[in-house]
Amino acid sequence: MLLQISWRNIWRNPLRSGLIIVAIALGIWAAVFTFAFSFGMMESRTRDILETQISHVQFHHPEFEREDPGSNFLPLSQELIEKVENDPATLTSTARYLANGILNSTKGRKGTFPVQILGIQPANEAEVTSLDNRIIAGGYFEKEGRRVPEVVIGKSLAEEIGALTYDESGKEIYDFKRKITLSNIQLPNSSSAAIRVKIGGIYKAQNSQLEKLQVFINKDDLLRKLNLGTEVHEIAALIQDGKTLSKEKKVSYQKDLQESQSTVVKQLTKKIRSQSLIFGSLPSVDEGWTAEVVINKVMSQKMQLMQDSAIRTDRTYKISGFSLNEEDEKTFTVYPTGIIDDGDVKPAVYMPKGNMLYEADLIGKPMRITKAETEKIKNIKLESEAKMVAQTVKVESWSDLAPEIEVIDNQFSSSMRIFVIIILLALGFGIVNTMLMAILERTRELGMLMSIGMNKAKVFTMIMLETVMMTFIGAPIGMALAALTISYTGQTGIDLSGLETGAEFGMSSMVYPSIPITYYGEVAVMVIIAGILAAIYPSLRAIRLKPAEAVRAI
Amino acid sequence: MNIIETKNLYKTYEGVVPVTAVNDVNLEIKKGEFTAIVGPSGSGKTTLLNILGGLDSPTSGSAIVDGQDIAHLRNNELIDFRLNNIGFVFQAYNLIPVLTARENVEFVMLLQKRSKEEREARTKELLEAVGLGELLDKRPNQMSGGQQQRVAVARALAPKPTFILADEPTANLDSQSTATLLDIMAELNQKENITFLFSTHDQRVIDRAKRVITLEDGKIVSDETRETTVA
Repeated sequence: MLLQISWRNIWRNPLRSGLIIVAIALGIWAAVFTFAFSFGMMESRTRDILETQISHVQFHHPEFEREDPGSNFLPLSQELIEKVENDPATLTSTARYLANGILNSTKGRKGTFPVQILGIQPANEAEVTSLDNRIIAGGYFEKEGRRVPEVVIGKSLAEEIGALTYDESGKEIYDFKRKITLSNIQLPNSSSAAIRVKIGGIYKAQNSQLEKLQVFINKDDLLRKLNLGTEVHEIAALIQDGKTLSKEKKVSYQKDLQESQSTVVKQLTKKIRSQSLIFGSLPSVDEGWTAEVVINKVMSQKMQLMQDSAIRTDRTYKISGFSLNEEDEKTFTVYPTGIIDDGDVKPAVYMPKGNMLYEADLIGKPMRITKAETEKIKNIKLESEAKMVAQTVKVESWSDLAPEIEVIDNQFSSSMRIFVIIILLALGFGIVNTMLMAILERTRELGMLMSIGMNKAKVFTMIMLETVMMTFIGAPIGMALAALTISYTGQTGIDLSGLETGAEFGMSSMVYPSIPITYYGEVAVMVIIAGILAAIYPSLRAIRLKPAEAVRAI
Repeated sequence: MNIIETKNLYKTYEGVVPVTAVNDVNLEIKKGEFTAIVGPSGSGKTTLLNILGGLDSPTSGSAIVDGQDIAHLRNNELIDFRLNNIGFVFQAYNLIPVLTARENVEFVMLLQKRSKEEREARTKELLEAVGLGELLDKRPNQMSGGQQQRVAVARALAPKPTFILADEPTANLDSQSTATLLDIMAELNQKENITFLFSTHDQRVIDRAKRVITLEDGKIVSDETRETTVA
C-alpha cells in the first residue's frame, strides 16, 4: 500500500509533479543529446584524422623520427609490405618514403619553404587517406615516369609560393606550368639532393598546417630521381576495427609481424651463410652493440686469426677509425665470430648494423684492424646460431601516433560527464525543493501517520518512493526522446558549416550525433543515484517531524 | 479496572521562562469511561493528551496505560504502543486524502500486519457502524466534514485500541454532524464498552460526557462524574 500511497501522492498536485517530470525528462534529453552531439563531433574529427592523415596503424624502424626520417628505413620493407597487405585484418595499406627538403620558388613569390616530401604509392594512398578526393585543382598523379615528376601540393602552400592567385572577381587561378625545385632532400648517406618537379595537383586538407607542409610525389619517381632502391620509411594501414585497436590487438599484430619477419631474417641469414660463411658463425644480433663481427678471408689471413682449425681466442682485436653513427670515430673491441668469402681481395670486417643483420648491411665498409695481445678473447662460440631478435619493426596504433586525439576524446568525455552531473545536480535541487514543499504542505498528514503508528522507516520509504518514482517516470521519457533525436540527427547529420567549427584544427562541419549504447545505462545509473540522493534530504526532513506538533500544524 | 493511571505527572517546557503545562496530575480512568477533559486554552489539556497518547513524554511522574508505563518507552516502542493501543481522532480529521474511506480504515490494520480477510471484514463492519456503508470507496474530498470525522472514528477503532483519544473532535463540525458523531461514539461506548477520552471546549461534548475533568494551569481543579448523559 506504501507504493500505492506514494504513487497517488505524486498525482495530488499533477501540475507540480508534471513539471518536475518534464524537467527531469528534458534534463536527461539535453544531457544525453549533448553527449551524443559531442561524441559525434569527436568521432567525426577522429575518423577524419585517421582516414586522411595518420591511418589506424603505422610501421616504422624502431628509431624512426618523423622530423628526421634519415636512413631509418623499414627493414625488409618489401616482405613487410607484402605481409601487411596480405594480413586478413588489413583493409588497405600504403608505403611511403619520407624526406625533409626545401621547396624553392624562383617565380612568383620567391623564397624557400621548408616542406616534408612524401613519396607515395598514388593508388594505395588514395585508398588509405583519400588524397585523390581532396584534390581541388589539377590532377592526381595521372602519369608516371615523367622526366620532370609531378607533385601534389596544398592550397595554402600554392598561395605561399604564388602558384595560386586570384583575379579581380576573386576567382582562383592556378599556375600548373611552373616548375619548382625540391632541394636539400636528405639522403641516407647524409648527403642531399635536389630535383625539379612540376605542380600536378592542388589538395585541400582539414589541417591547414599540414596543407602548407606536405608535398606528395610518386615514390617510384622520387626514388628513381634520387638513385635509391626500394627503401620505405613507413607503411600506413587501415585495418578492421582500427578505431578501437586495442593494446592487446596491437601487441598481437606486432608479435605476428615480428615472427614473420624473424622467419624471413632467419631464412636470409641461412642464405647468406650458405653462400658466404666459410667458418664459424654469423654475429649474434642483439639489441644494441654486440661487438661481434665477421671478417673476410683476406682479413683472417692478415690477422692470423686461425689456429688449429679454430678462431684464436687468446687475443683482443680492436677496430679504430670506425663509428656506428658515422659522426664520432672511436676504437672498439670486437670479437670475430666467423669468416666469410666475399670474393674481395682487400681485408674487410663486417658488422651488424644496429640490431639488424641483413643482406644489405653485410656489405659494409672494410676497416682497419689493430691487434693487441692483451687478454683472452671471450664469448666466442663457433657453434652458436645467429640470434635474430625480432625487435625490428615498431608497430604504432593511431593512439600512439597521435595520443592527443585520445586525450582530447577522453577530456571531452569527462567534461560531458561533468556537464551531465551538473544537469542532474540542478534537477536534484529542483526535486529536493519540490519535495520539501510537498512535505511542508503535508506536515499534518505526516504527523497523523506517525501518530497512528507508522514508523520512521515507512515514512522515509514513502517519501523516497515518491521522489524516485517521479525520476523513474521522467528518465525513460528523456532517454526515449534522446534516442529518437539521436537516431534522427545521426542519419541526417547536423550541418555546422555556417559556424566557426575549427576546421583548421581538424573538426568536421557535419556532425552525426551518436552515442555508445552503454552510455544510456551510465546515464540511467546516474539518474537513479541523483533521484535517490535528491530523495534523502526531504525524507529525512519528514521523519524529523514531531508527530504531536505536526498533527496540529496549520 | 484502570486502563489509564497517572501519578505525580509533570511536564515542564524549558525556555527563558519555564512553563509547567502539566502540574502534578494524578488521574485514573477506567475501561468504558466516556470522559471529557476541559479547560481554557493553555490549561494543559493537549499536553496531557499528548502524554497519554504516547506522543510526548513527561518531565517526571508516570503514565501507566493498560499496565505499561509509557513514560519510559523508547521512540520505536512508543510507535508500536500507539499503533496497538490508541485510536486517534483529530480535530481536522486528518485522513489520508489519496485513499478512499475503506483504504483509510484499512491502512492502520495494514501497519499492524493483519490479514487481508480480517482487514476487509473489519473495515466494512466499522464503516457500517459509523453509518458510512454506502461511502466505502469515496475519497475524503468527496465527503462532508462530519462524514470524514466518522471515517476517522472508524479508523481509530480499527486497530482495536485500549482507548480512543479524541482531540477537539467536533471543533470543525456543524450541530447536526456533531450530534450524529456523538451519538455514534456514545453508542460504541455503551454497546462495545469502548473507552473515549476527549479534550474539548464544545459544550455539546461536555454535556454528553459521563465524566468531566477540568484542568487549569496544568492542574486538575475538578473531576465530576455523572450518572447519566444528556441526550
